[in-house]
Amino acid sequence: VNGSPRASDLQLIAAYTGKVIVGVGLLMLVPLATALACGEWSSAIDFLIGLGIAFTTGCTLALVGATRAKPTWVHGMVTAGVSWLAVMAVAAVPYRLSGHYLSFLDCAFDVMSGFTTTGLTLIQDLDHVSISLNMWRHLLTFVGGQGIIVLALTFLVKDAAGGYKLYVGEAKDERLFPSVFHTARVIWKISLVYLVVGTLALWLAGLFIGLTPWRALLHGLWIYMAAWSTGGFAPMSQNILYYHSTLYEVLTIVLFVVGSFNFALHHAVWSGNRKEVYRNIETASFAGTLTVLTLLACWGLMKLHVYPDAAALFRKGFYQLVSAHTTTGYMTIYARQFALEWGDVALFAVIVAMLFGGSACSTAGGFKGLRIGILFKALVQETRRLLKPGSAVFVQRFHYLGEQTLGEAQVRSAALIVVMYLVIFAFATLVGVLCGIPMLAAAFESASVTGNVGLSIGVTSAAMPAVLKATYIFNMWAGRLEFMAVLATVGFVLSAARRR
Amino acid sequence: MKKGLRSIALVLRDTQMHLGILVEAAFVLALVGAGSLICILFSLG
Repeated sequence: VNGSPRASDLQLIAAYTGKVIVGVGLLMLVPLATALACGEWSSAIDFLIGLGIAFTTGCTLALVGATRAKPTWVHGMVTAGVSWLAVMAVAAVPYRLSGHYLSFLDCAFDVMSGFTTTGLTLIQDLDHVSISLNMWRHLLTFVGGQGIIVLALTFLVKDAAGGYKLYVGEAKDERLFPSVFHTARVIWKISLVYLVVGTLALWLAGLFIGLTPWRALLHGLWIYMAAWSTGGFAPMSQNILYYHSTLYEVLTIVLFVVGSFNFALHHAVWSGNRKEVYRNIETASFAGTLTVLTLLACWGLMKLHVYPDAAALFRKGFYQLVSAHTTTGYMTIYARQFALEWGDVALFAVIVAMLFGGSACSTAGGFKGLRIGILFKALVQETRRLLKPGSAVFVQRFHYLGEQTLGEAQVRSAALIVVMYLVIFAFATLVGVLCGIPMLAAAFESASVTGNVGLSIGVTSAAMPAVLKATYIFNMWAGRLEFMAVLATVGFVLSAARRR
Repeated sequence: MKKGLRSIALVLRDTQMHLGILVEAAFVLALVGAGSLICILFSLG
């Protein structure tokens, strides 16, 4: 887009956004079919209305915006940013109609939390939600993990060049194949294969702990969806604590850690390059930071005698820490236990873990292991440069799907995104403090929304101020899209306003 | 329908994929093992 936005720019953005909305509308067929199969007639009507609104809005935008013009990078970025906001409004309709939310803002919060795989929720009476609404909640987080643009690319967008620009706008710049459509299909294949494996494992675990076969299957499917997408939603208000099972906890750890891996890593390992799993800079960085933060959290917890033995320390301390580091947000303790029992050292470890996050081009949020690894390598390189004579030339290498040489552009890009994360983390912390929340609790919740984690110290509730809900929605959105699409959207809106 | 069944059959016969899943699960279990070891060491004082 050169200069101020023109009508043709708006047309292009409207056309692609319309297709993404139609994609989300198609998704509503799943909870609709569930509602019909389970005889939940009231929920079925909610989803029918939602479906109608999604199709009407999406098709109208696609028709109004129909154009032969080719999208530029800015169009791709703005479309990704706008699409996420548009689908938030459309997908919130069944939530609002369900009667489980106090306001439309709460519904929008939950949809953004689901799509960005954060996992915080403002739902009322979660333990008595209909099967179809639970299906919708978990489906949103599952699809959000892969990306709503990836969904649209799989079924609705046919233009390869435009498709790639949308794909990058959604913070997934890894191309597993030259064709972006082939890449989108492989991402879905990996997730669907794990869906079968994960649901089966959790179903058997559910039977083992005494759930009925039907309930074990539904819970297995939903917990898989939220674990794989590092989402953190669960069908019961006690989250994973509800199951009181070490087996269930270990299975969920495996699923959400694997879910936090880069899709390119899965593809490499599944294609026979199995050494990549431990040679990759992201997994190495994850293993390193997880070990250091586990040591710190365990030290903090044992110093205060929070847990009596190794089993409790593992099931409560380690579980929460891995859940934070993979940005999942599954909990085996109550939210207030963080504030009342954990102490500053362990909370500090969890906050850092939430900000570090999982892998790039995965379902996880946070800074990402790739950027942590690159910044660490850059630090090593600079230290070596300082210690050696000025004429010495240093080449720093790292392994990421093959040997790579560390370049200045990579370091600059990694540092810029980390700084942006820290800026919005500080912003949401400040808003929390201004709303009267204690500093540590505000920082904890801010790290949780910024890193798309979902762990809560008890701040997030339907009773919190609307300004804090809106700030958290912004942080979830900006953190998930990794800023470029958000900055492009804000710039586009400002230049359109200036033109008027 | 036939195409869909054929692609499911291809996935089911994909040995590299099966080994890949096992390797990923083994890596994560090794991390979990290391985490539990740290917990044991700390609880022993």
